[in-house]
Amino acid sequence: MSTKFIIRIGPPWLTKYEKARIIGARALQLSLGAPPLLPVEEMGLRDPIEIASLELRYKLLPMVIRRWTPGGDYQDIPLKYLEIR
Amino acid sequence: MSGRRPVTEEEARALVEPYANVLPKSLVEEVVRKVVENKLTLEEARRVVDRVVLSYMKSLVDPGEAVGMVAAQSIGEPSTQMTLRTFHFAGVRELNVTLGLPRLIEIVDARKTVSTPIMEVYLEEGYKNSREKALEVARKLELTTIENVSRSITVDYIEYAIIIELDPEMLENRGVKPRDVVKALNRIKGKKGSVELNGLTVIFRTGLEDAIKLRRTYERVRNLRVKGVKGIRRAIVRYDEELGEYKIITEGSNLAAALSMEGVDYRRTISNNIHEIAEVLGIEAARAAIIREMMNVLEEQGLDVDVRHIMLVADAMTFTGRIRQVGRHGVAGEKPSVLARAAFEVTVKHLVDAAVRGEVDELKGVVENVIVGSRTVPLGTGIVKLMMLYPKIEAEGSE
Repeated sequence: MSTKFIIRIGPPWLTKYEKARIIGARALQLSLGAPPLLPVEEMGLRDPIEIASLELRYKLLPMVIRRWTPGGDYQDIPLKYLEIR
Repeated sequence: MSGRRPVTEEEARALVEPYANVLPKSLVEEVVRKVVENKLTLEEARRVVDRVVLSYMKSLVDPGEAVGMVAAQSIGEPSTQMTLRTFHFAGVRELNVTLGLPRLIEIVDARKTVSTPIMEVYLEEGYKNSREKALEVARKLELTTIENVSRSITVDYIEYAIIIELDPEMLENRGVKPRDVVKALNRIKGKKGSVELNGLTVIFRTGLEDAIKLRRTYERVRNLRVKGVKGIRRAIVRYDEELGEYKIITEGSNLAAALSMEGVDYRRTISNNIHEIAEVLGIEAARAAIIREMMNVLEEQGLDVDVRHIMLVADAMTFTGRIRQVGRHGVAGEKPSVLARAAFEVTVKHLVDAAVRGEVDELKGVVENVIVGSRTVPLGTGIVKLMMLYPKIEAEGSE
Protein backbone atom coordinates (compact mmCIF):
# COMPACT_ATOMS: atom_id res chain seq x y z
CA MET A 1 0.00 0.00 0.00
CA SER A 2 1.29 3.47 -0.74
CA THR A 3 1.89 5.64 2.31
CA LYS A 4 -0.31 8.70 2.43
CA PHE A 5 1.36 12.06 2.53
CA ILE A 6 0.54 13.66 5.88
CA ILE A 7 0.54 17.40 6.16
CA ARG A 8 2.04 18.30 9.50
CA ILE A 9 2.00 22.06 9.27
CA GLY A 10 -0.94 24.26 8.39
CA PRO A 11 -4.35 23.36 6.98
CA PRO A 12 -4.83 20.53 4.46
CA TRP A 13 -5.89 23.00 1.81
CA LEU A 14 -4.10 25.66 -0.14
CA THR A 15 -4.39 28.95 1.76
CA LYS A 16 -5.54 32.04 -0.08
CA TYR A 17 -2.08 33.51 0.33
CA GLU A 18 -0.37 30.44 -1.04
CA LYS A 19 -2.70 30.48 -4.01
CA ALA A 20 -2.05 34.16 -4.68
CA ARG A 21 1.68 33.67 -4.42
CA ILE A 22 1.71 30.73 -6.75
CA ILE A 23 -0.40 32.35 -9.41
CA GLY A 24 1.67 35.51 -9.13
CA ALA A 25 4.99 33.72 -9.41
CA ARG A 26 3.87 31.56 -12.32
CA ALA A 27 2.35 34.53 -14.14
CA LEU A 28 5.66 36.36 -13.74
CA GLN A 29 7.52 33.40 -15.21
CA LEU A 30 5.13 33.27 -18.16
CA SER A 31 5.43 36.97 -18.73
CA LEU A 32 9.20 36.60 -18.90
CA GLY A 33 8.90 33.99 -21.60
CA ALA A 34 8.51 30.63 -19.87
CA PRO A 35 6.72 27.98 -21.95
CA PRO A 36 3.12 27.46 -20.80
CA LEU A 37 2.04 24.01 -19.69
CA LEU A 38 -1.36 24.34 -21.36
CA PRO A 39 -2.24 24.56 -25.07
CA VAL A 40 -2.83 28.27 -24.90
CA GLU A 41 -3.28 28.97 -28.62
CA GLU A 42 -6.02 26.40 -28.82
CA MET A 43 -7.70 27.72 -25.69
CA GLY A 44 -7.34 31.32 -26.80
CA LEU A 45 -5.58 32.37 -23.61
CA ARG A 46 -3.35 35.43 -23.63
CA ASP A 47 -3.33 36.80 -20.09
CA PRO A 48 -0.50 35.27 -18.00
CA ILE A 49 -2.57 35.47 -14.83
CA GLU A 50 -5.41 33.61 -16.51
CA ILE A 51 -3.03 30.99 -17.84
CA ALA A 52 -1.36 30.60 -14.44
CA SER A 53 -4.72 30.21 -12.68
CA LEU A 54 -5.74 27.43 -15.05
CA GLU A 55 -2.39 25.71 -14.75
CA LEU A 56 -2.91 25.70 -10.99
CA ARG A 57 -6.47 24.50 -11.22
CA TYR A 58 -5.51 21.57 -13.42
CA LYS A 59 -2.65 20.73 -11.06
CA LEU A 60 -0.05 21.08 -13.79
CA LEU A 61 2.44 23.12 -11.78
CA PRO A 62 5.51 21.30 -10.44
CA MET A 63 5.86 23.41 -7.33
CA VAL A 64 6.49 22.77 -3.67
CA ILE A 65 5.50 24.91 -0.72
CA ARG A 66 7.78 25.02 2.30
CA ARG A 67 5.66 25.75 5.34
CA TRP A 68 7.51 27.03 8.39
CA THR A 69 6.52 27.00 12.04
CA PRO A 70 7.57 29.94 14.23
CA GLY A 71 9.86 27.52 16.03
CA GLY A 72 11.96 26.92 12.93
CA ASP A 73 10.45 23.62 11.87
CA TYR A 74 9.36 23.22 8.28
CA GLN A 75 7.70 20.80 5.88
CA ASP A 76 7.91 20.68 2.10
CA ILE A 77 4.51 20.02 0.57
CA PRO A 78 4.17 19.32 -3.15
CA LEU A 79 1.21 21.15 -4.63
CA LYS A 80 -0.61 18.02 -5.62
CA TYR A 81 -1.33 17.20 -1.98
CA LEU A 82 -3.06 20.45 -1.24
CA GLU A 83 -6.75 20.75 -2.03
CA ILE A 84 -7.82 23.83 -3.83
CA ARG A 85 -10.81 25.43 -2.16
CA MET B 1 -32.84 -3.26 4.67
CA SER B 2 -31.26 -1.87 7.82
CA GLY B 3 -33.90 -0.26 9.95
CA ARG B 4 -34.33 3.45 10.37
CA ARG B 5 -33.25 3.20 13.93
CA PRO B 6 -31.80 6.19 15.73
CA VAL B 7 -28.16 6.00 16.77
CA THR B 8 -27.19 5.60 20.37
CA GLU B 9 -25.00 8.10 22.11
CA GLU B 10 -21.99 5.79 21.94
CA GLU B 11 -22.39 5.36 18.21
CA ALA B 12 -22.76 9.10 17.71
CA ARG B 13 -19.68 9.72 19.77
CA ALA B 14 -17.76 7.12 17.79
CA LEU B 15 -18.63 8.98 14.60
CA VAL B 16 -17.20 12.22 15.92
CA GLU B 17 -14.25 10.55 17.62
CA PRO B 18 -11.79 10.73 14.69
CA TYR B 19 -12.25 14.51 14.63
CA ALA B 20 -11.96 15.03 18.35
CA ASN B 21 -8.52 16.57 17.92
CA VAL B 22 -9.70 18.95 15.28
CA LEU B 23 -12.98 20.23 16.66
CA PRO B 24 -13.31 22.16 19.89
CA LYS B 25 -14.67 20.08 22.77
CA SER B 26 -17.89 22.05 23.12
CA LEU B 27 -18.65 21.46 19.46
CA VAL B 28 -18.07 17.73 19.80
CA GLU B 29 -20.50 17.62 22.70
CA GLU B 30 -23.07 19.66 20.86
CA VAL B 31 -22.94 17.46 17.78
CA VAL B 32 -23.41 14.30 19.82
CA ARG B 33 -26.26 15.88 21.71
CA LYS B 34 -28.07 17.13 18.62
CA VAL B 35 -27.68 13.84 16.80
CA VAL B 36 -29.22 11.95 19.68
CA GLU B 37 -31.93 14.55 20.30
CA ASN B 38 -33.08 14.45 16.71
CA LYS B 39 -32.96 10.68 16.55
CA LEU B 40 -30.88 10.51 13.40
CA THR B 41 -29.97 7.27 11.68
CA LEU B 42 -26.38 6.19 11.28
CA GLU B 43 -26.21 7.45 7.73
CA GLU B 44 -27.77 10.80 8.56
CA ALA B 45 -25.51 11.20 11.56
CA ARG B 46 -22.48 10.51 9.47
CA ARG B 47 -23.50 13.16 6.98
CA VAL B 48 -24.12 15.66 9.75
CA VAL B 49 -20.70 15.06 11.26
CA ASP B 50 -19.03 15.43 7.88
CA ARG B 51 -20.84 18.66 7.26
CA VAL B 52 -19.96 20.02 10.69
CA VAL B 53 -16.29 19.23 10.21
CA LEU B 54 -16.30 20.80 6.76
CA SER B 55 -18.02 23.95 8.01
CA TYR B 56 -15.64 24.23 10.90
CA MET B 57 -12.56 23.84 8.74
CA LYS B 58 -13.85 26.47 6.36
CA SER B 59 -14.33 28.90 9.20
CA LEU B 60 -10.70 28.70 10.31
CA VAL B 61 -8.39 31.56 9.55
CA ASP B 62 -5.66 31.02 6.95
CA PRO B 63 -2.16 31.15 8.39
CA GLY B 64 -0.64 34.45 7.33
CA GLU B 65 -3.78 36.45 7.96
CA ALA B 66 -3.11 39.77 9.70
CA VAL B 67 -5.20 38.85 12.74
CA GLY B 68 -3.55 41.40 14.98
CA MET B 69 -4.40 44.27 12.69
CA VAL B 70 -7.93 43.02 12.22
CA ALA B 71 -8.42 42.57 15.94
CA ALA B 72 -7.01 46.01 16.71
CA GLN B 73 -9.35 47.68 14.27
CA SER B 74 -12.31 45.58 15.32
CA ILE B 75 -11.90 46.68 18.88
CA GLY B 76 -10.68 50.19 18.16
CA GLU B 77 -13.39 51.33 15.81
CA PRO B 78 -16.38 50.62 18.09
CA SER B 79 -14.40 52.20 20.92
CA THR B 80 -14.71 55.54 19.20
CA GLN B 81 -18.43 55.24 19.72
CA MET B 82 -18.20 54.74 23.44
CA THR B 83 -19.58 57.43 25.65
CA LEU B 84 -17.71 58.44 28.74
CA ARG B 85 -20.47 58.11 31.26
CA THR B 86 -20.18 56.12 34.47
CA PHE B 87 -23.00 53.82 35.27
CA HIS B 88 -24.75 53.53 38.58
CA PHE B 89 -25.69 50.18 39.93
CA ALA B 90 -29.45 50.25 39.73
CA GLY B 91 -30.91 50.97 43.12
CA VAL B 92 -27.72 51.55 45.00
CA ARG B 93 -26.81 55.17 44.94
CA GLU B 94 -23.17 55.11 45.86
CA LEU B 95 -21.87 52.00 44.16
CA ASN B 96 -20.21 53.02 40.91
CA VAL B 97 -18.38 50.76 38.51
CA THR B 98 -15.99 52.21 36.00
CA LEU B 99 -17.39 51.38 32.62
CA GLY B 100 -16.87 52.45 29.07
CA LEU B 101 -13.65 53.75 27.64
CA PRO B 102 -11.88 54.46 30.97
CA ARG B 103 -12.46 50.88 32.07
CA LEU B 104 -11.24 49.48 28.75
CA ILE B 105 -8.06 51.51 29.11
CA GLU B 106 -7.68 50.22 32.66
CA ILE B 107 -7.88 46.61 31.52
CA VAL B 108 -5.58 46.99 28.56
CA ASP B 109 -3.04 48.95 30.58
CA ALA B 110 -3.07 46.15 33.16
CA ARG B 111 -3.41 48.66 35.99
CA LYS B 112 -2.50 47.24 39.32
CA THR B 113 -4.93 49.44 41.20
CA VAL B 114 -8.42 49.52 39.79
CA SER B 115 -10.43 52.68 40.24
CA THR B 116 -13.59 50.85 41.36
CA PRO B 117 -12.58 47.43 42.60
CA ILE B 118 -15.58 45.20 43.01
CA MET B 119 -16.13 41.60 43.94
CA GLU B 120 -19.15 39.48 43.21
CA VAL B 121 -19.30 37.02 46.06
CA TYR B 122 -21.51 34.01 45.51
CA LEU B 123 -22.64 31.89 48.41
CA GLU B 124 -22.76 28.20 49.07
CA GLU B 125 -25.71 25.98 49.69
CA GLY B 126 -27.35 26.84 52.95
CA TYR B 127 -26.29 30.44 52.65
CA LYS B 128 -27.42 31.50 49.23
CA ASN B 129 -31.13 31.18 49.78
CA SER B 130 -31.34 32.91 53.11
CA ARG B 131 -31.16 36.64 53.40
CA GLU B 132 -30.09 36.45 57.03
CA LYS B 133 -27.24 34.10 56.30
CA ALA B 134 -26.19 36.29 53.42
CA LEU B 135 -26.19 39.35 55.64
CA GLU B 136 -24.09 37.42 58.12
CA VAL B 137 -21.44 36.78 55.53
CA ALA B 138 -21.68 40.33 54.29
CA ARG B 139 -21.02 41.68 57.76
CA LYS B 140 -18.10 39.34 58.10
CA LEU B 141 -16.69 40.78 54.92
CA GLU B 142 -17.35 44.43 55.43
CA LEU B 143 -14.49 46.18 57.08
CA THR B 144 -15.37 47.69 60.42
CA THR B 145 -12.91 49.92 62.20
CA ILE B 146 -13.11 51.22 65.74
CA GLU B 147 -14.20 54.52 64.33
CA ASN B 148 -17.21 52.87 62.70
CA VAL B 149 -18.60 51.68 66.01
CA SER B 150 -17.74 54.51 68.39
CA ARG B 151 -19.62 57.56 69.36
CA SER B 152 -16.38 59.25 70.31
CA ILE B 153 -12.71 58.53 70.65
CA THR B 154 -10.76 60.88 72.86
CA VAL B 155 -7.18 61.11 73.98
CA ASP B 156 -6.36 61.53 77.62
CA TYR B 157 -2.98 63.27 77.71
CA ILE B 158 -2.68 63.02 81.46
CA GLU B 159 -3.12 59.32 81.77
CA TYR B 160 -1.68 58.59 78.32
CA ALA B 161 -4.83 56.71 77.50
CA ILE B 162 -7.38 56.60 74.74
CA ILE B 163 -11.01 56.55 75.72
CA ILE B 164 -13.51 55.01 73.35
CA GLU B 165 -17.22 55.49 73.74
CA LEU B 166 -19.00 52.75 71.84
CA ASP B 167 -22.30 53.35 70.15
CA PRO B 168 -24.79 50.52 70.71
CA GLU B 169 -26.70 51.13 67.51
CA MET B 170 -23.61 51.04 65.34
CA LEU B 171 -22.38 47.99 67.20
CA GLU B 172 -25.60 46.18 66.43
CA ASN B 173 -25.54 47.32 62.82
CA ARG B 174 -22.17 45.81 62.21
CA GLY B 175 -22.71 42.79 64.39
CA VAL B 176 -19.83 43.73 66.66
CA LYS B 177 -19.63 43.19 70.39
CA PRO B 178 -17.64 45.33 72.81
CA ARG B 179 -15.33 42.45 73.56
CA ASP B 180 -14.42 42.29 69.87
CA VAL B 181 -13.16 45.83 70.26
CA VAL B 182 -11.20 44.80 73.31
CA LYS B 183 -9.75 41.87 71.41
CA ALA B 184 -8.67 44.12 68.58
CA LEU B 185 -7.03 46.55 70.95
CA ASN B 186 -5.30 43.75 72.77
CA ARG B 187 -3.57 42.92 69.54
CA ILE B 188 -1.79 46.23 69.37
CA LYS B 189 -1.47 47.18 73.00
CA GLY B 190 2.16 46.32 73.39
CA LYS B 191 3.97 45.34 76.56
CA LYS B 192 2.96 48.20 78.77
CA GLY B 193 -0.58 48.77 77.55
CA SER B 194 -3.78 47.59 79.08
CA VAL B 195 -7.35 47.55 77.95
CA GLU B 196 -10.31 47.91 80.24
CA LEU B 197 -13.95 47.53 79.39
CA ASN B 198 -16.59 49.41 81.33
CA GLY B 199 -20.02 48.83 79.90
CA LEU B 200 -19.84 50.71 76.65
CA THR B 201 -16.60 52.51 77.38
CA VAL B 202 -13.22 51.11 76.53
CA ILE B 203 -10.18 52.59 78.20
CA PHE B 204 -6.93 51.83 76.50
CA ARG B 205 -4.04 52.72 78.70
CA THR B 206 -1.16 52.84 76.33
CA GLY B 207 1.65 52.83 78.86
CA LEU B 208 3.48 55.29 76.65
CA GLU B 209 5.38 58.32 77.80
CA ASP B 210 5.72 60.20 74.56
CA ALA B 211 2.95 62.54 73.50
CA ILE B 212 3.81 62.24 69.83
CA LYS B 213 3.70 58.46 69.98
CA LEU B 214 0.41 58.77 71.77
CA ARG B 215 -0.99 60.82 68.95
CA ARG B 216 0.17 58.26 66.45
CA THR B 217 -1.39 55.48 68.45
CA TYR B 218 -4.60 57.41 68.49
CA GLU B 219 -4.63 57.40 64.68
CA ARG B 220 -3.92 53.70 64.63
CA VAL B 221 -6.72 53.03 67.04
CA ARG B 222 -9.21 54.97 64.98
CA ASN B 223 -8.50 52.90 61.89
CA LEU B 224 -7.96 49.64 63.70
CA ARG B 225 -9.74 46.74 62.10
CA VAL B 226 -12.32 45.27 64.44
CA LYS B 227 -14.15 43.03 62.07
CA GLY B 228 -14.16 42.26 58.40
CA VAL B 229 -11.69 41.90 55.62
CA LYS B 230 -9.05 44.42 54.75
CA GLY B 231 -9.86 46.36 51.66
CA ILE B 232 -13.59 45.75 51.64
CA ARG B 233 -15.22 49.05 52.21
CA ARG B 234 -18.80 47.90 51.86
CA ALA B 235 -20.60 44.63 51.32
CA ILE B 236 -24.13 44.70 49.97
CA VAL B 237 -26.50 41.80 49.70
CA ARG B 238 -28.53 41.59 46.53
CA TYR B 239 -31.00 39.14 45.19
CA ASP B 240 -30.07 37.81 41.76
CA GLU B 241 -33.23 37.34 39.73
CA GLU B 242 -31.72 35.01 37.16
CA LEU B 243 -30.08 32.65 39.58
CA GLY B 244 -32.72 32.93 42.26
CA GLU B 245 -30.26 33.34 45.04
CA TYR B 246 -28.63 35.97 47.19
CA LYS B 247 -25.21 37.25 46.38
CA ILE B 248 -22.94 39.89 47.82
CA ILE B 249 -21.46 42.79 45.93
CA THR B 250 -18.48 44.38 47.62
CA GLU B 251 -16.90 47.72 47.12
CA GLY B 252 -13.22 46.94 47.41
CA SER B 253 -11.58 43.72 46.49
CA ASN B 254 -9.72 41.12 48.53
CA LEU B 255 -10.10 37.88 46.70
CA ALA B 256 -7.74 35.79 48.79
CA ALA B 257 -9.56 36.56 52.01
CA ALA B 258 -13.03 36.30 50.55
CA LEU B 259 -12.49 32.93 48.92
CA SER B 260 -11.43 31.32 52.16
CA MET B 261 -14.36 32.70 54.10
CA GLU B 262 -17.02 30.35 55.35
CA GLY B 263 -20.21 30.37 53.35
CA VAL B 264 -18.54 31.72 50.25
CA ASP B 265 -18.70 29.67 47.08
CA TYR B 266 -15.08 29.84 46.03
CA ARG B 267 -15.82 28.44 42.61
CA ARG B 268 -18.01 31.27 41.42
CA THR B 269 -16.80 34.30 43.28
CA ILE B 270 -15.01 36.81 41.07
CA SER B 271 -13.28 40.13 41.21
CA ASN B 272 -12.77 42.78 38.60
CA ASN B 273 -9.14 43.28 39.52
CA ILE B 274 -7.20 41.33 36.91
CA HIS B 275 -3.94 41.32 38.82
CA GLU B 276 -5.60 39.95 41.89
CA ILE B 277 -7.13 37.16 39.88
CA ALA B 278 -3.74 36.34 38.39
CA GLU B 279 -2.21 36.21 41.86
CA VAL B 280 -4.93 34.16 43.50
CA LEU B 281 -6.31 32.02 40.71
CA GLY B 282 -3.53 31.88 38.16
CA ILE B 283 -2.72 33.25 34.73
CA GLU B 284 -5.32 31.26 32.80
CA ALA B 285 -8.01 32.60 35.07
CA ALA B 286 -6.62 36.07 34.50
CA ARG B 287 -6.88 35.55 30.76
CA ALA B 288 -10.51 34.53 31.12
CA ALA B 289 -11.10 37.53 33.35
CA ILE B 290 -9.62 39.91 30.79
CA ILE B 291 -11.93 38.50 28.14
CA ARG B 292 -14.92 38.68 30.44
CA GLU B 293 -14.27 42.23 31.54
CA MET B 294 -13.60 43.55 28.05
CA MET B 295 -16.66 41.86 26.57
CA ASN B 296 -18.64 43.31 29.44
CA VAL B 297 -17.50 46.85 28.74
CA LEU B 298 -18.31 46.63 25.04
CA GLU B 299 -21.64 44.90 25.51
CA GLU B 300 -22.72 47.36 28.14
CA GLN B 301 -22.13 50.17 25.68
CA GLY B 302 -24.24 48.33 23.14
CA LEU B 303 -21.33 47.43 20.88
CA ASP B 304 -21.04 44.06 19.24
CA VAL B 305 -17.44 42.90 18.92
CA ASP B 306 -16.66 39.29 18.12
CA VAL B 307 -15.06 37.62 21.11
CA ARG B 308 -12.12 36.23 19.14
CA HIS B 309 -10.60 39.67 18.66
CA ILE B 310 -10.66 40.14 22.39
CA MET B 311 -9.35 36.62 22.90
CA LEU B 312 -6.36 37.57 20.81
CA VAL B 313 -5.65 40.61 22.96
CA ALA B 314 -6.01 38.56 26.13
CA ASP B 315 -3.69 35.89 24.78
CA ALA B 316 -1.10 38.44 23.75
CA MET B 317 -1.22 39.94 27.22
CA THR B 318 -0.90 36.66 29.11
CA PHE B 319 0.96 34.10 27.04
CA THR B 320 4.31 34.77 28.69
CA GLY B 321 2.87 33.70 32.02
CA ARG B 322 2.44 37.10 33.58
CA ILE B 323 0.10 39.91 32.69
CA ARG B 324 1.75 42.38 30.35
CA GLN B 325 0.34 45.79 29.60
CA VAL B 326 -0.29 46.43 25.92
CA GLY B 327 1.85 49.56 25.91
CA ARG B 328 5.55 50.24 25.91
CA HIS B 329 6.13 48.50 29.25
CA GLY B 330 4.62 45.30 27.98
CA VAL B 331 3.71 43.71 24.69
CA ALA B 332 4.94 46.50 22.43
CA GLY B 333 8.03 47.24 24.47
CA GLU B 334 9.25 43.67 24.60
CA LYS B 335 9.59 43.20 20.87
CA PRO B 336 13.07 42.07 19.89
CA SER B 337 13.26 44.45 16.95
CA VAL B 338 14.81 47.86 17.54
CA LEU B 339 13.00 49.47 14.65
CA ALA B 340 9.66 48.15 15.84
CA ARG B 341 10.14 49.62 19.28
CA ALA B 342 11.44 52.87 17.89
CA ALA B 343 8.39 53.10 15.64
CA PHE B 344 6.11 52.73 18.63
CA GLU B 345 7.24 55.24 21.25
CA VAL B 346 10.35 57.01 22.57
CA THR B 347 11.97 56.80 19.15
CA VAL B 348 15.27 58.52 19.75
CA LYS B 349 16.08 56.69 22.97
CA HIS B 350 15.68 53.26 21.35
CA LEU B 351 17.76 54.17 18.35
CA VAL B 352 20.53 55.74 20.37
CA ASP B 353 20.73 52.89 22.91
CA ALA B 354 20.77 50.33 20.13
CA ALA B 355 23.51 52.16 18.27
CA VAL B 356 25.62 52.45 21.38
CA ARG B 357 25.27 48.73 22.06
CA GLY B 358 25.78 47.71 18.48
CA GLU B 359 22.48 45.90 18.31
CA VAL B 360 21.38 43.97 15.26
CA ASP B 361 17.82 43.98 13.98
CA GLU B 362 17.11 40.65 12.33
CA LEU B 363 14.13 42.02 10.39
CA LYS B 364 11.98 39.05 11.31
CA GLY B 365 8.80 40.89 12.16
CA VAL B 366 6.21 42.84 10.25
CA VAL B 367 6.89 46.38 11.42
CA GLU B 368 10.58 46.44 10.71
CA ASN B 369 10.14 45.02 7.23
CA VAL B 370 7.56 47.63 6.37
CA ILE B 371 9.90 50.36 7.55
CA VAL B 372 12.83 49.00 5.63
CA GLY B 373 10.64 48.49 2.57
CA SER B 374 11.72 44.90 1.96
CA ARG B 375 10.22 43.02 -0.92
CA THR B 376 8.45 40.57 1.30
CA VAL B 377 6.83 41.48 4.57
CA PRO B 378 6.23 38.31 6.65
CA LEU B 379 2.46 38.60 6.43
CA GLY B 380 -0.05 37.02 4.06
CA THR B 381 1.62 36.22 0.75
CA GLY B 382 5.00 37.08 2.22
CA ILE B 383 4.85 34.02 4.39
CA VAL B 384 4.67 31.63 1.46
CA LYS B 385 7.92 30.03 0.41
CA LEU B 386 7.78 28.54 -3.03
CA MET B 387 10.11 26.06 -4.68
CA MET B 388 10.20 24.41 -8.07
CA LEU B 389 10.08 20.67 -8.31
CA TYR B 390 12.22 19.32 -11.12
CA PRO B 391 11.21 15.69 -11.65
CA LYS B 392 14.48 14.51 -13.18
CA ILE B 393 16.82 16.21 -10.71
CA GLU B 394 15.90 15.44 -7.09
CA ALA B 395 17.33 18.69 -5.64
CA GLU B 396 15.14 21.81 -5.25
CA GLY B 397 15.87 25.21 -6.71
CA SER B 398 14.34 28.18 -4.97
CA GLU B 399 11.96 30.74 -6.32
